[in-house]
Amino acid sequence: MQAHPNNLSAPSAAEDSAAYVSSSLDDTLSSLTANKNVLGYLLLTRSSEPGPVGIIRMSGAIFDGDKGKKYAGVVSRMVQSVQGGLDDVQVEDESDDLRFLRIRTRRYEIMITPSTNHILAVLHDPGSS
Amino acid sequence: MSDNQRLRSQIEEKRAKLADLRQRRLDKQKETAQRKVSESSPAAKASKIEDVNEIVDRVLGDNSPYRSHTPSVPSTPVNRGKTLPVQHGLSSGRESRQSDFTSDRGVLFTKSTDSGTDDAMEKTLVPRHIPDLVDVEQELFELPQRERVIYNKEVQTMSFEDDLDTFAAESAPHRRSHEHETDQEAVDKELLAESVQLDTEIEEEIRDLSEEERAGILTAPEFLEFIEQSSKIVQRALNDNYDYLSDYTRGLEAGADESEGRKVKRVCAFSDERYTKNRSITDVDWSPKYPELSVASYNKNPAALNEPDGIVAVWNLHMVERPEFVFHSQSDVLSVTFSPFHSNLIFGGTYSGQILLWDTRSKHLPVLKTPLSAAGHTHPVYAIQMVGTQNAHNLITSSTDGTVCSWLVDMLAQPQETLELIHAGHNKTGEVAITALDFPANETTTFWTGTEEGNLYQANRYDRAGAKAGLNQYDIYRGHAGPVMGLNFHPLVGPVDFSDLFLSCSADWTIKLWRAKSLQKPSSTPHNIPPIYSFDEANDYVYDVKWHPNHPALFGSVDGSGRFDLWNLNTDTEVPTVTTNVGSGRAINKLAWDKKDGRRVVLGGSDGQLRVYDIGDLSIPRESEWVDMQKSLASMTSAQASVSVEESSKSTPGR
Repeated sequence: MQAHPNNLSAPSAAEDSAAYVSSSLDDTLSSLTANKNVLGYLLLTRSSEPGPVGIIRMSGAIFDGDKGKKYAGVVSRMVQSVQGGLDDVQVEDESDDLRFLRIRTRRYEIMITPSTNHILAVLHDPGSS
Repeated sequence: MSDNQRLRSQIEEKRAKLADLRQRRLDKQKETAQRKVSESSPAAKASKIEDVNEIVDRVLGDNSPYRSHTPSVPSTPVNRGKTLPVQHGLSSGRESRQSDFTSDRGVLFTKSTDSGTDDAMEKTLVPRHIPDLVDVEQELFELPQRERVIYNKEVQTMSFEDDLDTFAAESAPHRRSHEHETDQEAVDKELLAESVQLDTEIEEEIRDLSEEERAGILTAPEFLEFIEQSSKIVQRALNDNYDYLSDYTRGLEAGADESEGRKVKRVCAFSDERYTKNRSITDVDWSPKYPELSVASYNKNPAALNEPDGIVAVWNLHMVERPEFVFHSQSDVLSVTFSPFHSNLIFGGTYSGQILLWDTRSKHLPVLKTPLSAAGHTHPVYAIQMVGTQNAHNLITSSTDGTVCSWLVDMLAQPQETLELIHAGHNKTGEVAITALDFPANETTTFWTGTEEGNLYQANRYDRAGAKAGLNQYDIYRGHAGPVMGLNFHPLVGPVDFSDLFLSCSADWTIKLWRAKSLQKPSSTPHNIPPIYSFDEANDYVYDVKWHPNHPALFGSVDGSGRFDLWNLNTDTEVPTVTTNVGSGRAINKLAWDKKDGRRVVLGGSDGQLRVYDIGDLSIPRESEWVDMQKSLASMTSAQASVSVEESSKSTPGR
């Protein structure tokens, strides 16, 4: 049984698992865009010091061209400022991090999930459901 | 006390100085106004002077309430030496320093504020009559002494500036408007410059990543983890599907809801293109801790050789698109259960006989697994159950070779105990092929099993009260003509104890209701126990049957034609109360009621779809249901007794 051909944990299957990993990334992201309300997403880099933000990936017609860049800048500034606000109000010994931002405009909603090094922003249209 | 008095005397002093100051200021103002008027057109002279005086008066009057307070830190005039006696400012500054520390700080603040105001004044008014401006500026004196108020001064100064503006506008309209224009231009220019700068900043802010950088990020495990987590959060949020900006004042055309009026409604269906395609669900369970989580086990996907044979997926009602967690197994997973005592742990029994333990805190692969040796199972494990309490519990597993093992959850290296269920009356081999197993409520040592041959047996884990450990060979629950697919004991709930009742379902298209024989009087000779009742409504294999967790007379069953039947014994014993055709018409393999209130039921289909249904109010038992259930049972048993008497009288002569 130890020599099971489909043993994914076996080191021999390392190549498989690399392909497996990237396909799982694509699957995850495509399942996100599969939602009919989702207009697009932005994947950005995030750093603790102010500096340029990098766009890792973006998808959706709404982020085409310069608009995507503008959104990227806005999102990253938004995250920065909210985290700054959070830092200002929080007590020393209980540190807190921004995890999820949900901003609703009349037409759209943008949901931002920042981590220490990355930001995912998803724009969707809640009214169309 | 003496402090207070000193303060008061100081206040008096300051008041006197202030009055003096004011007088001088008024005089000065008249003087300058006259001078100004003589400069400008003589026609409007008189009215202008009046106006100016009026304004000054009003400004002073407006601030009169402050006069009752101690005048503000009086060092301000130091900077205004042009109109005020220098030594006056100095002396008052000293005084304030004497009073206390805060006012000392106040002095500092004032100074900084002053310099700010000076700048502003220079910009707009320096070319003109500085004395006027300075005069009004002295309202700064009238602020209360408290530190905070001093801090606010900046704001007040601004508003005074406004006053000055109107004053200036009246006295020199043309110059004023010209200034306005240039101001406007300057502001415009500034704005333009700013926006350009912002644009460049934005450009700088965003940089395109090089291909290598991007590839590096895309393959970093940290990034994948981030995508996994953040997309889950977003998808959960997307799934709540509620528009927070809904406007209920707007009328909505009353579209007929197709599910309206139906008691059993579908909540959602889970499937995943990648993980669950071409697979069948083999078992389902609900999380004991999180009512929105359910787990399903899957067999192999014959079309995908590189994928693991067995999959276990945890689904979240708030995220339909994809599973919350996915676990892998090298062999088809046939049975699955959440640990009732650790919300993170999930156990699975596989076709190869391995028992696997997954942890939601770790990755796809099992954290513990049993060896494939004679000590454990080497045949398919179709039944798995956790028994005991938080502090003492065991995992009981059974395979089709008649082996029942009991495991400690944190030590799967070898079973704690192994039991061979053997029936001497069987042909060739005594093994009992166990397909289903259940413990009565509050019972941990004795259990009932369903077998491939169709009979049900009782078995003990330990020797006890005259009965040996192992299969009870004498009591045979005979009734099914095909393999038993499901076995379920009545839950111990409500005022009447029905926990000796159990249901079984079989490939012979029937569901049967049984009463477990009391363990107090073990039989010593072979002895058939007939079912209390048989439900023959199904038109296909009945794959699973489960009592409702709260309602004593309610149970659900699923069959090979894709039907989900809800039976209420108090309403009808002949036909199900509600029959729902689920999905594609392909078989439904398993069902499980949610553990909280039994409103929801999860159905695992052989098409790989996991569907959740809501049965609504049907799940709420009336108070009388338990008594009614007793009556229904009595009528069923009496009917069955007469039938079995007939049968036995018929069959006896034949033997």
